[in-house]
Amino acid sequence: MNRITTNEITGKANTRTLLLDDNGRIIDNFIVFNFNNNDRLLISDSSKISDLYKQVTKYIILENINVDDISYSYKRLSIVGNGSFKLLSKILKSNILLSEKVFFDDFSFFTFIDKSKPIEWIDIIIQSKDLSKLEKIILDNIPKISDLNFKKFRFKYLITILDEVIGINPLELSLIDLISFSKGCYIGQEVIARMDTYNKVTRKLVRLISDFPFEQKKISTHKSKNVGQLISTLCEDSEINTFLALALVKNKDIANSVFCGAKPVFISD
Amino acid sequence: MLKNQVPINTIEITQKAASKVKQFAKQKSMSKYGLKVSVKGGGCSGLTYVLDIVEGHDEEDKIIKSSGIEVYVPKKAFVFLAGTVLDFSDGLNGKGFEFANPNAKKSCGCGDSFSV
Repeated sequence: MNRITTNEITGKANTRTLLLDDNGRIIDNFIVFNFNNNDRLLISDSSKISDLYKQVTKYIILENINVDDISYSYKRLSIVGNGSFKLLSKILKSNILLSEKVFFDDFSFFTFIDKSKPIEWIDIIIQSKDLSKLEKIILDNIPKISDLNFKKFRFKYLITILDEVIGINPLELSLIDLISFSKGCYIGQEVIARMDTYNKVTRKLVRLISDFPFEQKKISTHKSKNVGQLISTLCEDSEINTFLALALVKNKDIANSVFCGAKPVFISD
Repeated sequence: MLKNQVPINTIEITQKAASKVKQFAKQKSMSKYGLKVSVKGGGCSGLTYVLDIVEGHDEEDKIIKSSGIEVYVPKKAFVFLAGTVLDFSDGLNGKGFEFANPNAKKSCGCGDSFSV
C-alpha cells in the first residue's frame, strides 16, 4: 500500500490515501484500516469496488498477499458536520477521539476521523449484520440527510466525491493532506512532486453560482477561451433559479468574469 | 551483442555490471552467490526493479548465466523482464545499475521504476 498509494501507510494508524495513475491522476480514494497484525481493510469511496480490487491486485507480483472483496460484509455510515465528535461520543458513551474500535452493547465497529475534510467527519465501519442496531441508536439522535441536502452540504464546503474526480490531479482539489512528500516513490509520485515543487498547479476547485442551469461542462471567458471544467452541478432552489456547481478553474482566471455556455457564472467564496 | 538484440527468452548483464556484482559480493565476503533480478509492484511508474546478491536461487527461479554471473529471475517476474539488459554506469554522473527493458513503455526519471 505504501509503494502504490500517496499517503504514508504505517502499521499503526488508519490512513486515508489516494491511488493515482502514473500521470498523477486519481483512480481511487480509500481508507486503509489496520484490521489486525497482518490484514488491512480497504474502504473505498468508489461506487465500483471491483475497480479497486483490479488495481490493487495488478501490483501484486511475488508477494504472498490475498485480496478479497468483502464489501457485502461491511457497511459505512458517515457522521458529518461541526459538533459530530462531541455528539457521537455522547450517544455512544465513549470518547471516539481516543479509540478506533468501539464496543457498544453486543456489537462493535470501527471509527475513522477524516482529517482531510474541512469539517468534522467520522466514518463508521460496521459489519452488515450489526448495521440496523447502530442505525437505530444514531437516527434516534442525529437526523439522516437526504441525498440532495448532502450534496448542498458538500458544495458548501467544497467537498467532492470520488466519482466526480476520477482522472483529476489531487493537487488541483487541495487533497494535500492525503499525500506524503517525505516518503519514497509511489505511482504518480514524479508528477505530483514536480507539480508541487515547481508550483505548476494551475487550476483550483471553486464553487460557481448561476441564475441559469449549467448546460455545458466547459467554463470560458467572454472571448470563449477555455478556463475550466465543471465537476458537479446542483439546482439549489428551483423557485428562485439558483444553480450551483463545483468546478476547476484556472487560477489566473478566478478573478475574471467567466461563463458557462453564453451564460455568466459567479465564483463564490 | 547489442542491447536491442537480446533474445526475448533471457536477460543479459554486461561485463561492467557483472564486475560490479562481483565487487559487491566480495565486500560481503560471499564466495558462492548469484544476482537476483526481480520486480515488485509500486514506485513512480507502477513497477520497480529489485536487485539483490543472494547465496542461492529459489525453486521458482529461472537461472540464466551471463558475463560469468548466475542470474536468478522469479518466473512470475520474468514476463516483465524478458529481453532486458542490465548495465552499470559509474563516474560522476553515473546512475549505478541501469535497466534497458524492451517491455517498459515508460520509466521514471531515476530509472528504478517502469510500466509495461
